[in-house]
Amino acid sequence: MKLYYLEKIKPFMKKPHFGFLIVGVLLVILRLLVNVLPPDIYGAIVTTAYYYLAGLGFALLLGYGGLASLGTGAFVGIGAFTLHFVFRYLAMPLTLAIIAGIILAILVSIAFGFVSLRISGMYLAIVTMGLSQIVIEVIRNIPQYASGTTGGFLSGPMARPLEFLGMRLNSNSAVLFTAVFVVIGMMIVHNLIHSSTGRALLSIKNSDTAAQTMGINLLKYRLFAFVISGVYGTLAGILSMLFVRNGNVSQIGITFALNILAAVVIGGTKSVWGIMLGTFVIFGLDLAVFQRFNLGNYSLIINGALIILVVMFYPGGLIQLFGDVKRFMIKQISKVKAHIYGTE
Amino acid sequence: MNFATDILSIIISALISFSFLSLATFGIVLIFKTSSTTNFAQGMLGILGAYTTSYLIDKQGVVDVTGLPSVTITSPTQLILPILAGILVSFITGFLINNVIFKHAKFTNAATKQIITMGLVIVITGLIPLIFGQTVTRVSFPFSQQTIMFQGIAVPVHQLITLILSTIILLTIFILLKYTKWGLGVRSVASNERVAGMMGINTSVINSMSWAIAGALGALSAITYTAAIGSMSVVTMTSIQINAFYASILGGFSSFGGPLGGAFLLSAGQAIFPKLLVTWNLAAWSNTLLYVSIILAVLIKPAGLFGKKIVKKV
Repeated sequence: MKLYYLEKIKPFMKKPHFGFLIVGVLLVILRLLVNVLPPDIYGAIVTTAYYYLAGLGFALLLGYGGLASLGTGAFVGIGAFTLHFVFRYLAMPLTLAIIAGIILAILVSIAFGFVSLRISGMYLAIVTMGLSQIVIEVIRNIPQYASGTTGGFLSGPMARPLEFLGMRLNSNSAVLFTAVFVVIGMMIVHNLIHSSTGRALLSIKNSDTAAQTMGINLLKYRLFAFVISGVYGTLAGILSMLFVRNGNVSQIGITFALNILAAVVIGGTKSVWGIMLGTFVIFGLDLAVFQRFNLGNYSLIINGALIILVVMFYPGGLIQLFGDVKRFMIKQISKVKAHIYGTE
Repeated sequence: MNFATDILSIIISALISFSFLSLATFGIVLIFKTSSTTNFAQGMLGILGAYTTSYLIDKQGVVDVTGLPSVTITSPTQLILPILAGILVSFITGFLINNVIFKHAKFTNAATKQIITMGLVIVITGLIPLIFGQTVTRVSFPFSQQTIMFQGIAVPVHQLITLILSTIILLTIFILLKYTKWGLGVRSVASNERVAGMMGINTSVINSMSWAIAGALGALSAITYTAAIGSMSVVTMTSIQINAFYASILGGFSSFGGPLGGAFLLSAGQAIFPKLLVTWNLAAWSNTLLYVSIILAVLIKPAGLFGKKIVKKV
């Protein structure tokens, strides 16, 4: 038994994929604890979980592709409102609605990718902001697509309950969807980062001319990064719709894109776990922690100041904090040891 | 309506929105050139000044019965002093932002600077209700309530004064940029901060002055705009600010004048597209069309319509 543990289970536990699975398991456990946990903490964790997906996709774009796009909101909008439109107005099954959202996201993200070939740097940020504004305007102007400016399954005259494979889904069951997608998403991003694709993207980030000279196809990898990030954003939108059951066009504008950017940078652009931390700081911290103390407007100030301070003093992201603390502890322990046992 | 009047009314409404937009745009360009970041807090800096102005005007008189502020402006100083105070507040805030935050942020690149400005947006959003009370919407005061008729088109005097004011201010800044030592410093920092520092230019003074001036311009833009639309909230300036970004890329960041050209084209577009589309009952799509045409223009000329192409070294 012990041998089996040492030979099979322990190496598996050392793998990073094990950690990703644990996240999924924790989310499933969270679903079971829904009546025990305070609703705001529960909501904060679930919100973090699905926006984490959008952050992961964006990290591939920013941390590895070096493309500071501000169009994440557009994809979240595409996910949420395509699901709403296909499921409620076309009365299609849920699976088909999700697939439709992903296909639409791929098409739009290819457009984003082509734009990024011609424009770079700060210009790209503003142009992608404009592109996402166009998507938002389209959503806003098609009344059926968004029922005006908001979409909701359970509100309005044509309410249709959410069903998946004949089972009725309530908003808590949607957390299971989130768990599955988060685990798969983390694994895909981890594998991509550690494959030749990740290295190709890194080389393009450092110098696109040099990368092209070395035979890296700029078009292919740029488009790839945008498509992945777009699909992840769309999934985040779909999951948010499944959980919140409501979407609002005003929530997916420039502020949202900046929030995702902040989440990725604060956590640490190149670390899968760091982004999770960053997403929690941006989307969950206020709901889960600050509102407990009834801080009112001070919570906004603290949150903003926290963002500024982290960016100022922790350029590698919050994930660096763990490494620093660990190093500090080791140093202190060795000092104490030296004090007790004396130096040799 | 005949054709000539249509054209004239488009030009006038374009000029009116240009008067607000140009100030905000110039603030953004100034910061972009010296600090090389897109300042998302530009609108917030401005609205801080506008709140100060509105607060100071409200302080001048309170109705005894309701307790609500109600002021009738009798002398020009009643209006001008609060406006100057508002501009001063934004000026100082901009100065402090650079000296407290950006000077001490060592490991920054363009993306992290963007996030710092975003953090500032959040902080100021929280600060405004704390300082000025929980009133969500306040009203700023126009210079004048009157309207004059020009060739059969109604032009509010307030907008006219704003237009004249912004023209004078922008012209002054351009002259200063061209002929003074400070202007030379700004231009050299814009082209290369390190080399400018080596050549004996005090780059940190230039940077803080850019932030301060950008704040002041934003405040003037916010004060006049909120007075024109007659309402004010924390998010009022966001749309102006986003339009200013589009104007900047449309004109091209590489010169100081280009973005202003872009701002005028954008204001003209805002006036023209609804008029054209209303014929086919598609007026709701005019913003979409405007954004699409801006992006197409930028795709065709990536350096902006009035910009120069910069050749990069590998």
